[in-house]
Amino acid sequence: MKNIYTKKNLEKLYLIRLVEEEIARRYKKEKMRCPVHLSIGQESCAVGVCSNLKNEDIVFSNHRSHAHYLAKGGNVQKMIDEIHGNENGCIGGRGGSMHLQDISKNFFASIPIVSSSVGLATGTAFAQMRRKKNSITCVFTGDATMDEGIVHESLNFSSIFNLPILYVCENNYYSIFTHVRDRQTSSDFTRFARSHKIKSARVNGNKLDHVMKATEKAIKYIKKNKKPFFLQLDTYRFLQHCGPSSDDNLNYRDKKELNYWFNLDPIKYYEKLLVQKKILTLKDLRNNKFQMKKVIKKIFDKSENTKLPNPNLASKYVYKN
Amino acid sequence: MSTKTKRTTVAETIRETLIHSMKKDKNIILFGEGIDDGAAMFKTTKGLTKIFGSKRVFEMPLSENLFVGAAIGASMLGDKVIINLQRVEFALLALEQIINNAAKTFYASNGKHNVPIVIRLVVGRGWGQGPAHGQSLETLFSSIPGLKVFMPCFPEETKNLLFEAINDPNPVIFIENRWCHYNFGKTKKKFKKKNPSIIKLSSGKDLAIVSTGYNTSIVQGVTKILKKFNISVEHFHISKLKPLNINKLIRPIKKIKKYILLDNGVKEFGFFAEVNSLLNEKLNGIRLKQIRLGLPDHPIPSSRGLVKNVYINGSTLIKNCIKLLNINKATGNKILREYSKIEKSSSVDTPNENFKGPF
Repeated sequence: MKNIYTKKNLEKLYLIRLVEEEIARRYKKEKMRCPVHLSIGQESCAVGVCSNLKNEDIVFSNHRSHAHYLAKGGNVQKMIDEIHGNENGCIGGRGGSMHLQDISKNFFASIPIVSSSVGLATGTAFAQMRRKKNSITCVFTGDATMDEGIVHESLNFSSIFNLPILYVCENNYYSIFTHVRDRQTSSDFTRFARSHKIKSARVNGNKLDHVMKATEKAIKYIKKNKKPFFLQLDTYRFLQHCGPSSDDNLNYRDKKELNYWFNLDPIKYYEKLLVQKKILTLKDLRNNKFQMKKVIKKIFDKSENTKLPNPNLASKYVYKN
Repeated sequence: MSTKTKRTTVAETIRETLIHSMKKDKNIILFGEGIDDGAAMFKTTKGLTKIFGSKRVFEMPLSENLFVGAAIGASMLGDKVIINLQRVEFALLALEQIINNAAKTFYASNGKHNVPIVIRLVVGRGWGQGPAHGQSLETLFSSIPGLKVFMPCFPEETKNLLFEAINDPNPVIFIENRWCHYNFGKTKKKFKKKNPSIIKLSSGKDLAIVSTGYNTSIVQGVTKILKKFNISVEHFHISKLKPLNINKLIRPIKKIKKYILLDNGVKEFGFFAEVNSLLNEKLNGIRLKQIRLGLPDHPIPSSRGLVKNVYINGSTLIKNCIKLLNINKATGNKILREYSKIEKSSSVDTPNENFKGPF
């Protein structure tokens, strides 16, 4: 069993949270001029899954891709540059926040059209199977993805063709403003996996230790049996669907529901575990955060002070010669 | 006949090109709809599973959007996928992956991931194909940056274009007109990776005609008849529609000044609306006489009664030539009578006399 209680994991959680808080803080400066979908509140899903992946494992993400990108080891400067529209961005400013990728880390693509990356992930898993690779593909989806047809097409195909793919469904209960109860007969999406004869598990996504244990089991199963696995992680978005602020003034979320999840902040939950297990002290935590903040601030400053790319580059890479 | 050429059909040449390419490159796989059944995609994939095994040539669950997406994903790890879709309309279920991912992956990866896939689409015609089996949607695909669109008509052209498409590092929409599958012609042994976008099929000084797809066959028939009446036609066939390059048309049209453009699909917002607009921009200031033809602005009906005037036939084309060239009525009627000898009444509905349906 992998060590679940580590400083490294906490640092990943911090990195994601602090980077996104910095985005939120600086967003009003209007230098990051693209939609941003923050993962604050859901970081443990990304860290729990990715800490079990190897570098050669391929990951696909969606519009809410910051946490996945950082958890898979994506370059922070290139991410912040991308959001600022800089040439040094991970894809040269062509995509912005919703299109993060770092191919050197096998973080292949983030496609913001909900469910669109599921098709691509099925394809890389298919190629991995065909080439008898030991690596797997992991695709991050959400509860809204489950409304889309291609997910069901993919579950069927990957089950029949025995593809090494891990479907992660981060259920944050909302498709923007619409609760899952208004869109689906149940918030248990493992039922789709079962109907396609795919093994599945459902755990609380805000508890990093739970996510890690479930993912480790899932990956063992995929590699041993050469079959797909479906992992549902229940979680909650703390801020608005898109943008740097809270939107709870709109009162679309139930107070009881809000309170439950806000009291289960994935970072506080994990910090508490580490302190209890005497892996870190409160002083260590504060120190750690302070150091990281300084580094992150520098990264943002650098991006803000970079010149925008030459407009002539806009027509590059339409066709390959 | 020399040993280096042989007479064959478009359908046969597709099969030969697939076999030739797949033998050369183990990374090529072929999947989609109706590959391994009795009909074998109009015999174009007949026996391929036997030759290459079910791991390289296989039937897919009927999930177009998923398997186009999967083809794109597989190409990120070095596969080259040829996708078969029985009709253009099935590709509409996969437009999301075609437009969002196939066309944009190279761009949105800053040049790191290209998508070497070929999507074979068939445009149905005749025998009651109707509203959902007969649309020629080359314009739709041609309007998307990042896609390439090829639409051949003849065997040698098809062979080389398909070979080029398979070897192209970009996504290619390969549109096959169902009736072109029966086109006969000579093919050479050699496969060409680089082919012209536009083929000149006849030289002339009175009139230029530019066509695509199956219409090109019709123009050829008309050109022959007009020649008997000393009317010479400069006929161009566009095989590669996207990226569009019309340079080859500029000089001849500047010289002849009279031209007809024939859309394989609906005329309004059609492919040739773009071609004509480019011609007029480039030949600004020159008095041009021009006619643009294409399908009417309604879906294609099934009944052979209703479909009678939907497609451009030879007579319609001749009438427009007469109009453009100001030919007197008596000569005009003679030309039409001459043409009616070769135009069979069945041709509104079937590609040839041996055709028995159902597709």
